Amino acid sequence: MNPIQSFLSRAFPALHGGALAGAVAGCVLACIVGVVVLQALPGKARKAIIAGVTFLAGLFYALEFFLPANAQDENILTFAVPTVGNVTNVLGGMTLGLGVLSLIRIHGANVVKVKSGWENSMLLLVSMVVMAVAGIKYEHTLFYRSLFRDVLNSFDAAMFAVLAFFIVSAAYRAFRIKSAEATLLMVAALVVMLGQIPIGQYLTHWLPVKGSYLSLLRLDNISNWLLTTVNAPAQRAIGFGLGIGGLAIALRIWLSLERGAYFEAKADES
Amino acid sequence: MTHASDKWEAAFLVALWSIIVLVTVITAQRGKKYLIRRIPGLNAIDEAVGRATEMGRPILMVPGLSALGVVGLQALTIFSYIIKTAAKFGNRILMPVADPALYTVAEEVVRESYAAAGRPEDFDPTSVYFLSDRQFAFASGVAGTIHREKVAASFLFGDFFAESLIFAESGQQVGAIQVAGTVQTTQLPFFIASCDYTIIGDEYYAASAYISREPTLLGSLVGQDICKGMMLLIVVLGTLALSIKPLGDKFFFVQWFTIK
Repeated sequence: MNPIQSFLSRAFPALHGGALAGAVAGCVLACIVGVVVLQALPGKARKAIIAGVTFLAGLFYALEFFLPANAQDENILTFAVPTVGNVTNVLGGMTLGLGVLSLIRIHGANVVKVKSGWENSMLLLVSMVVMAVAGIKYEHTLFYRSLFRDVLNSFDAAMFAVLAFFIVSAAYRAFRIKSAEATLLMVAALVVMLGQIPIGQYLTHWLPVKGSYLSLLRLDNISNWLLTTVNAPAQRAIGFGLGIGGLAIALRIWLSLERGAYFEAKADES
Repeated sequence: MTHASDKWEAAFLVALWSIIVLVTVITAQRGKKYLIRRIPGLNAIDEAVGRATEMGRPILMVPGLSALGVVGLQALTIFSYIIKTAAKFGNRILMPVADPALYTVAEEVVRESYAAAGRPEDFDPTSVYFLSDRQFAFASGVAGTIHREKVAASFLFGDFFAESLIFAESGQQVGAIQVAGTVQTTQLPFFIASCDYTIIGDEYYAASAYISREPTLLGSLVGQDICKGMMLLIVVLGTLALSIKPLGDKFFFVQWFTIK
């Protein structure tokens, strides 16, 4: 146990029963007070607090990455990674309630005002309640499994199946020969497709597999070359650009250098 | 866990690139002027909003399945600009969201964007709504919205997976002008096939700098380009080192960047 771990164990000993319930209630109260205080603060002060918390949270992960690790691949901060992850998950979980409230607000209004399509809104609200009750109270019953597996999963599968038709219409538009680039795309796609299927491979099966320049003309070899020598480097190049772009924006957010509606407007209020 | 000590060379590059980005940001803040190239997809935003105004139909903005992170926040930055433009012309907007955490931020962003455009009274709280965090439930909800509302313009920015084509093809079916951008490279071909404009790769992260022309963001963008140039140099040097037989794969430069 490292010094930080032992200090935290002494400062926050494991609680049970009434003490645990009291601590949870205290944390909830502290959160409510925190939100109220943040709302009451002027924009600039609020921005400073948010920037400070963001910096500390980012600093934790940066230090955890850069501090040397021992043979067990752990350093002085590694023990806290699951706990910090749990904090993030709890914050995320709290927002799910707001999402559900949004659904109830919009669809509840549709039902109350008997707007066009109110029947769908009613069905959604009823389904939401039935699914929630089934999940909380009857999780290990056929009723819940049937709702989840037979109804929800089937709906998901049906939506996924729609993709097959959309791929055909998108491919038709993409492969129409209307420019030099589209022609190149069409030819490349045709070669890759033929190289992947038995009938395409059969067309050039009489050419040597390797050891001769003629092997370069085999459809499966051309297809493989297109995928590994042309497509893969292009994908990696895009990946590099994205990685560096992600690093830059993460730095901007970590150091509160980012400009945008969610950063500037609050500070401008005061 | 992954640590810098597992691969010091990679950690060194991350630290070096971070310093480069910060230096270019500081020089830009101190008044150094930077120019960035034209990105057609981002120029098309005004065209799409104009078309929605002419048609009198709503504008759809979808941040995909993005969670509250850099990708989702970048999508909201782009949407904020679109909303300010749309608010000037009185366009109705729709923003279905799949992640509840992002939904709370998105609602604030939309409200503040209307206020920034001088039209706070036009903000409709029902225009931003949480649909579902299940991929295909969200996809069916968005596809339904596209068909029911017959949206005139559709902006797809964020994290997209298999549902990308469902959104893009639904938009095609109702004749919407579509601009898309994602960091998921596997979804780019679908967007290119179905959308009018697609923002590729790191153009996605360049969007906020391009739109706002803020010195801080422009400086960051130039820093990114310097880092990309360095990456390209490393690739070229690595290729040369591997191609020169006497050096072989024991050469220190090749060893540095070999995955063990």
